[in-house]
Amino acid sequence: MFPAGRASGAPGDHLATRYSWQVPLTVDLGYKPIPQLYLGAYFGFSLGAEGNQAQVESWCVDDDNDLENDITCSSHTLRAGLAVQYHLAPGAHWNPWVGYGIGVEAASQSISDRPRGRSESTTSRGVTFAALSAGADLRHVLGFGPYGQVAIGRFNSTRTEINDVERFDGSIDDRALHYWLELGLRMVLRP
Amino acid sequence: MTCCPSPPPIPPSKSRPRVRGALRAAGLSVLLAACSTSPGGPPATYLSVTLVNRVDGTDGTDGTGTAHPSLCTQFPVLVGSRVTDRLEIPGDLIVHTDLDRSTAQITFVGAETITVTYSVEQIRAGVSGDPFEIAGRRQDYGATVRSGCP
Repeated sequence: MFPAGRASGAPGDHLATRYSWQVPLTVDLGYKPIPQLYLGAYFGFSLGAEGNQAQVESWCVDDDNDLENDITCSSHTLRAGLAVQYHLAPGAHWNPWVGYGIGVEAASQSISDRPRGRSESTTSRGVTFAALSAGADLRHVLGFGPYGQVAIGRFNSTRTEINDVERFDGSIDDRALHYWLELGLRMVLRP
Repeated sequence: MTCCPSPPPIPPSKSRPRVRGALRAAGLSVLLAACSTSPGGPPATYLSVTLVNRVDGTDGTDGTGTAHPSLCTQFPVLVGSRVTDRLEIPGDLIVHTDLDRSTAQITFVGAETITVTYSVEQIRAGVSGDPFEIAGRRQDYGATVRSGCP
Protein backbone atom coordinates (compact mmCIF):
# COMPACT_ATOMS: atom_id res chain seq x y z
CA MET A 1 0.00 0.00 0.00
CA PHE A 2 1.16 3.50 -0.82
CA PRO A 3 1.11 6.56 1.44
CA ALA A 4 -0.43 9.88 0.39
CA GLY A 5 -1.66 13.04 2.02
CA ARG A 6 -0.33 14.59 5.20
CA ALA A 7 0.59 12.94 8.47
CA SER A 8 0.06 16.26 10.26
CA GLY A 9 -0.22 19.91 9.39
CA ALA A 10 3.40 20.58 10.32
CA PRO A 11 5.57 21.75 7.41
CA GLY A 12 6.96 18.84 5.41
CA ASP A 13 5.10 16.22 7.41
CA HIS A 14 3.64 14.18 4.56
CA LEU A 15 2.73 10.56 5.07
CA ALA A 16 5.27 9.57 2.42
CA THR A 17 8.09 11.43 4.18
CA ARG A 18 7.53 9.22 7.22
CA TYR A 19 6.69 5.88 5.66
CA SER A 20 7.60 4.10 2.46
CA TRP A 21 5.19 1.90 0.57
CA GLN A 22 4.35 -1.11 2.68
CA VAL A 23 3.43 -4.73 2.09
CA PRO A 24 0.09 -5.43 3.80
CA LEU A 25 -1.36 -8.63 5.16
CA THR A 26 -5.00 -8.29 6.20
CA VAL A 27 -7.43 -10.80 7.70
CA ASP A 28 -11.19 -10.26 7.48
CA LEU A 29 -13.62 -12.28 9.60
CA GLY A 30 -17.35 -12.02 9.17
CA TYR A 31 -20.55 -13.51 7.89
CA LYS A 32 -23.26 -12.93 5.31
CA PRO A 33 -26.75 -12.44 6.70
CA ILE A 34 -27.93 -12.41 3.09
CA PRO A 35 -25.91 -13.47 0.02
CA GLN A 36 -25.32 -9.89 -1.09
CA LEU A 37 -24.22 -8.51 2.27
CA TYR A 38 -21.05 -9.21 4.23
CA LEU A 39 -20.50 -7.87 7.75
CA GLY A 40 -17.23 -8.36 9.48
CA ALA A 41 -14.10 -7.10 11.11
CA TYR A 42 -10.62 -6.61 9.70
CA PHE A 43 -7.14 -6.66 11.15
CA GLY A 44 -4.15 -5.69 9.07
CA PHE A 45 -0.40 -5.47 9.46
CA SER A 46 1.88 -3.93 6.87
CA LEU A 47 5.63 -3.57 6.76
CA GLY A 48 7.90 -1.20 4.90
CA ALA A 49 10.95 1.02 5.08
CA GLU A 50 11.63 4.64 5.97
CA GLY A 51 9.90 7.45 4.11
CA ASN A 52 11.33 9.66 1.42
CA GLN A 53 12.71 12.46 3.57
CA ALA A 54 16.13 12.88 1.97
CA GLN A 55 18.18 13.24 5.14
CA VAL A 56 16.59 10.27 6.86
CA GLU A 57 16.99 8.21 3.70
CA SER A 58 20.69 9.08 3.57
CA TRP A 59 21.15 8.00 7.19
CA CYS A 60 19.40 4.73 6.52
CA VAL A 61 21.57 3.76 3.56
CA ASP A 62 24.20 1.35 4.80
CA ASP A 63 27.00 1.99 2.32
CA ASP A 64 30.12 1.06 4.26
CA ASN A 65 30.49 -2.48 2.82
CA ASP A 66 31.09 -4.05 6.22
CA LEU A 67 28.51 -6.77 5.57
CA GLU A 68 26.52 -5.59 8.58
CA ASN A 69 23.43 -3.44 8.71
CA ASP A 70 24.64 -0.76 11.11
CA ILE A 71 21.67 1.54 10.74
CA THR A 72 18.28 -0.11 10.54
CA CYS A 73 15.20 1.79 9.46
CA SER A 74 11.71 0.43 9.15
CA SER A 75 8.06 1.32 9.30
CA HIS A 76 4.93 -0.64 9.93
CA THR A 77 1.22 -0.03 10.28
CA LEU A 78 -1.51 -1.80 12.24
CA ARG A 79 -5.13 -1.32 11.26
CA ALA A 80 -8.31 -2.78 12.71
CA GLY A 81 -11.99 -2.06 12.36
CA LEU A 82 -15.38 -3.04 11.07
CA ALA A 83 -16.28 -3.59 7.44
CA VAL A 84 -19.32 -4.04 5.30
CA GLN A 85 -19.36 -5.28 1.69
CA TYR A 86 -22.05 -5.45 -0.91
CA HIS A 87 -21.69 -8.29 -3.41
CA LEU A 88 -23.21 -7.56 -6.80
CA ALA A 89 -23.37 -11.14 -8.09
CA PRO A 90 -22.93 -13.48 -5.12
CA GLY A 91 -23.94 -16.57 -7.12
CA ALA A 92 -21.98 -15.82 -10.29
CA HIS A 93 -18.59 -17.11 -11.41
CA TRP A 94 -17.15 -13.59 -11.08
CA ASN A 95 -18.52 -11.71 -8.13
CA PRO A 96 -17.83 -7.97 -8.04
CA TRP A 97 -18.13 -6.24 -4.70
CA VAL A 98 -17.75 -2.86 -3.05
CA GLY A 99 -16.98 -2.22 0.59
CA TYR A 100 -16.67 0.31 3.36
CA GLY A 101 -14.69 0.07 6.56
CA ILE A 102 -14.12 2.20 9.63
CA GLY A 103 -11.58 1.65 12.35
CA VAL A 104 -8.37 2.66 14.01
CA GLU A 105 -4.76 2.61 12.89
CA ALA A 106 -1.28 3.01 14.33
CA ALA A 107 1.71 3.73 12.13
CA SER A 108 5.26 3.42 13.39
CA GLN A 109 8.65 4.39 12.08
CA SER A 110 11.99 3.61 13.63
CA ILE A 111 15.71 4.10 13.19
CA SER A 112 18.35 2.17 15.08
CA ASP A 113 21.98 3.27 14.93
CA ARG A 114 23.82 0.29 16.32
CA PRO A 115 27.39 1.69 16.30
CA ARG A 116 26.32 4.80 18.18
CA GLY A 117 23.86 2.98 20.44
CA ARG A 118 20.89 5.15 19.60
CA SER A 119 17.38 4.16 18.61
CA GLU A 120 14.30 6.22 18.00
CA SER A 121 10.76 5.27 17.18
CA THR A 122 7.57 7.22 16.76
CA THR A 123 4.08 5.76 16.62
CA SER A 124 1.13 7.83 15.48
CA ARG A 125 -2.38 6.66 16.28
CA GLY A 126 -5.60 7.72 14.69
CA VAL A 127 -8.86 6.92 13.04
CA THR A 128 -9.58 5.41 9.65
CA PHE A 129 -12.73 7.26 8.70
CA ALA A 130 -13.40 5.43 5.49
CA ALA A 131 -11.74 2.42 3.91
CA LEU A 132 -13.40 2.39 0.50
CA SER A 133 -12.74 -0.79 -1.40
CA ALA A 134 -13.81 -2.66 -4.49
CA GLY A 135 -12.87 -5.92 -6.13
CA ALA A 136 -14.04 -9.03 -7.87
CA ASP A 137 -13.81 -12.62 -6.67
CA LEU A 138 -13.39 -15.60 -8.97
CA ARG A 139 -15.51 -18.16 -7.16
CA HIS A 140 -14.50 -21.82 -6.94
CA VAL A 141 -14.05 -23.81 -3.76
CA LEU A 142 -12.10 -20.77 -2.69
CA GLY A 143 -12.63 -17.27 -3.93
CA PHE A 144 -9.70 -15.41 -5.40
CA GLY A 145 -9.46 -12.02 -6.98
CA PRO A 146 -8.03 -8.51 -7.20
CA TYR A 147 -9.07 -5.62 -5.02
CA GLY A 148 -8.24 -2.00 -4.43
CA GLN A 149 -8.75 0.23 -1.45
CA VAL A 150 -8.40 3.86 -0.42
CA ALA A 151 -8.26 4.29 3.34
CA ILE A 152 -8.78 7.86 4.55
CA GLY A 153 -7.56 8.58 8.04
CA ARG A 154 -6.21 11.11 10.46
CA PHE A 155 -3.67 10.79 13.25
CA ASN A 156 -4.79 12.14 16.60
CA SER A 157 -1.90 11.31 18.89
CA THR A 158 1.74 10.37 18.73
CA ARG A 159 4.37 8.79 20.93
CA THR A 160 8.14 9.07 20.61
CA GLU A 161 10.69 6.81 22.29
CA ILE A 162 14.43 7.33 22.26
CA ASN A 163 16.52 4.38 23.39
CA ASP A 164 13.27 2.73 24.52
CA VAL A 165 12.47 5.59 26.89
CA GLU A 166 9.24 7.46 26.27
CA ARG A 167 9.98 11.10 25.47
CA PHE A 168 6.56 12.22 24.34
CA ASP A 169 3.06 10.80 24.33
CA GLY A 170 0.28 13.18 23.54
CA SER A 171 -2.15 14.59 21.08
CA ILE A 172 -1.32 16.12 17.72
CA ASP A 173 -2.32 19.76 17.63
CA ASP A 174 -2.26 20.29 13.89
CA ARG A 175 -4.10 17.31 12.41
CA ALA A 176 -4.48 16.49 8.75
CA LEU A 177 -5.93 13.86 6.47
CA HIS A 178 -3.86 11.08 4.99
CA TYR A 179 -4.58 8.26 2.57
CA TRP A 180 -3.33 4.73 2.13
CA LEU A 181 -3.78 3.44 -1.41
CA GLU A 182 -3.81 -0.33 -1.57
CA LEU A 183 -3.84 -2.81 -4.42
CA GLY A 184 -3.65 -6.53 -4.01
CA LEU A 185 -5.08 -9.99 -4.27
CA ARG A 186 -7.37 -11.62 -1.78
CA MET A 187 -8.44 -15.13 -1.01
CA VAL A 188 -11.95 -15.89 0.30
CA LEU A 189 -13.03 -18.96 2.20
CA ARG A 190 -16.59 -20.06 1.43
CA PRO A 191 -17.11 -17.36 -1.24
CA MET B 1 41.44 3.00 16.36
CA THR B 2 40.69 0.47 19.02
CA CYS B 3 38.04 -1.31 17.03
CA CYS B 4 40.49 -3.17 14.82
CA PRO B 5 42.46 -5.91 16.54
CA SER B 6 45.59 -7.14 14.90
CA PRO B 7 44.92 -10.07 12.65
CA PRO B 8 45.57 -13.33 14.45
CA PRO B 9 48.83 -14.99 13.56
CA ILE B 10 48.49 -17.77 11.07
CA PRO B 11 50.32 -20.91 12.17
CA PRO B 12 53.15 -21.93 9.91
CA SER B 13 52.45 -24.67 7.45
CA LYS B 14 54.68 -26.38 4.98
CA SER B 15 52.00 -27.35 2.56
CA ARG B 16 49.99 -25.36 0.02
CA PRO B 17 51.64 -21.94 0.57
CA ARG B 18 49.63 -20.23 -2.19
CA VAL B 19 46.33 -21.22 -0.61
CA ARG B 20 47.59 -20.14 2.77
CA GLY B 21 48.60 -16.71 1.41
CA ALA B 22 45.24 -16.24 -0.23
CA LEU B 23 43.46 -17.13 2.99
CA ARG B 24 45.62 -14.70 4.93
CA ALA B 25 44.78 -11.88 2.49
CA ALA B 26 41.09 -12.73 2.62
CA GLY B 27 41.11 -12.82 6.40
CA LEU B 28 42.83 -9.44 6.60
CA SER B 29 40.31 -7.94 4.17
CA VAL B 30 37.40 -9.19 6.23
CA LEU B 31 38.94 -7.80 9.43
CA LEU B 32 39.52 -4.39 7.85
CA ALA B 33 36.05 -4.27 6.36
CA ALA B 34 34.38 -5.30 9.60
CA CYS B 35 35.96 -2.38 11.44
CA SER B 36 34.30 0.36 9.45
CA THR B 37 30.88 1.64 10.41
CA SER B 38 28.23 3.50 8.50
CA PRO B 39 29.58 7.03 8.19
CA GLY B 40 26.25 8.71 7.75
CA GLY B 41 24.23 8.05 10.87
CA PRO B 42 22.06 10.73 12.43
CA PRO B 43 23.98 13.31 14.46
CA ALA B 44 23.36 13.49 18.19
CA THR B 45 22.31 17.06 18.90
CA TYR B 46 21.65 18.17 22.44
CA LEU B 47 20.30 21.36 23.94
CA SER B 48 20.55 22.36 27.57
CA VAL B 49 18.80 25.00 29.64
CA THR B 50 20.45 26.17 32.83
CA LEU B 51 18.92 28.47 35.40
CA VAL B 52 21.13 31.03 37.11
CA ASN B 53 20.05 32.65 40.32
CA ARG B 54 19.95 36.43 39.88
CA VAL B 55 20.49 37.16 43.57
CA ASP B 56 23.80 35.52 44.18
CA GLY B 57 24.63 34.31 40.68
CA THR B 58 25.01 30.76 41.79
CA ASP B 59 24.48 28.59 38.80
CA GLY B 60 21.84 25.96 39.40
CA THR B 61 20.47 27.13 42.74
CA ASP B 62 17.38 29.08 43.66
CA GLY B 63 19.02 31.13 46.42
CA THR B 64 17.79 28.83 49.15
CA GLY B 65 20.41 26.22 48.59
CA THR B 66 18.21 23.98 46.48
CA ALA B 67 20.01 22.67 43.43
CA HIS B 68 18.20 22.52 40.10
CA PRO B 69 19.50 20.15 37.48
CA SER B 70 19.87 21.57 34.02
CA LEU B 71 17.48 20.40 31.37
CA CYS B 72 19.34 18.36 28.79
CA THR B 73 17.31 17.27 25.80
CA GLN B 74 18.30 15.42 22.67
CA PHE B 75 16.77 16.39 19.33
CA PRO B 76 14.78 13.64 17.62
CA VAL B 77 15.74 12.82 14.05
CA LEU B 78 12.64 11.30 12.45
CA VAL B 79 9.91 13.27 10.73
CA GLY B 80 7.00 13.50 13.15
CA SER B 81 9.02 12.68 16.26
CA ARG B 82 8.62 14.95 19.23
CA VAL B 83 10.52 15.20 22.50
CA THR B 84 9.42 17.21 25.50
CA ASP B 85 11.07 17.87 28.82
CA ARG B 86 10.17 19.83 31.89
CA LEU B 87 11.88 21.41 34.87
CA GLU B 88 9.79 22.83 37.68
CA ILE B 89 10.74 24.96 40.63
CA PRO B 90 7.57 24.50 42.66
CA GLY B 91 5.52 27.63 42.99
CA ASP B 92 8.02 29.75 41.11
CA LEU B 93 9.00 28.73 37.59
CA ILE B 94 8.40 26.01 35.02
CA VAL B 95 10.74 25.44 32.10
CA HIS B 96 9.32 23.39 29.26
CA THR B 97 11.20 22.26 26.16
CA ASP B 98 9.47 20.95 23.05
CA LEU B 99 11.70 19.65 20.28
CA ASP B 100 11.04 18.18 16.87
CA ARG B 101 13.70 17.31 14.32
CA SER B 102 14.08 20.91 13.16
CA THR B 103 13.04 23.24 15.98
CA ALA B 104 13.35 23.67 19.72
CA GLN B 105 10.77 25.72 21.56
CA ILE B 106 11.59 26.66 25.14
CA THR B 107 8.87 28.10 27.33
CA PHE B 108 9.37 29.70 30.71
CA VAL B 109 6.24 30.03 32.82
CA GLY B 110 6.74 32.25 35.83
CA ALA B 111 5.41 35.71 36.58
CA GLU B 112 4.99 35.89 32.84
CA THR B 113 5.32 33.41 30.01
CA ILE B 114 8.27 33.71 27.68
CA THR B 115 8.91 31.47 24.68
CA VAL B 116 12.15 31.31 22.73
CA THR B 117 12.76 29.24 19.61
CA TYR B 118 15.93 27.85 18.10
CA SER B 119 16.46 25.89 14.93
CA VAL B 120 18.44 22.68 15.06
CA GLU B 121 20.95 24.32 12.71
CA GLN B 122 21.51 27.08 15.26
CA ILE B 123 22.05 24.54 18.01
CA ARG B 124 24.43 22.49 15.87
CA ALA B 125 26.38 25.63 14.95
CA GLY B 126 26.79 26.35 18.64
CA VAL B 127 24.75 28.46 21.01
CA SER B 128 26.18 29.72 24.27
CA GLY B 129 24.64 33.11 24.82
CA ASP B 130 24.42 35.33 27.84
CA PRO B 131 21.64 34.49 30.29
CA PHE B 132 18.36 36.24 29.66
CA GLU B 133 16.24 37.38 32.51
CA ILE B 134 13.23 35.35 33.57
CA ALA B 135 10.88 36.53 36.31
CA GLY B 136 9.67 33.68 38.44
CA ARG B 137 6.71 34.08 40.74
CA ARG B 138 9.00 34.50 43.74
CA GLN B 139 12.35 35.55 42.35
CA ASP B 140 14.24 36.33 39.18
CA TYR B 141 16.40 33.91 37.25
CA GLY B 142 18.82 34.06 34.40
CA ALA B 143 18.31 31.30 31.86
CA THR B 144 21.06 30.14 29.55
CA VAL B 145 20.47 28.00 26.50
CA ARG B 146 23.50 26.09 25.30
CA SER B 147 24.39 23.59 22.64
CA GLY B 148 25.25 20.27 24.22
CA CYS B 149 24.90 19.32 27.84
CA PRO B 150 27.04 20.29 30.79
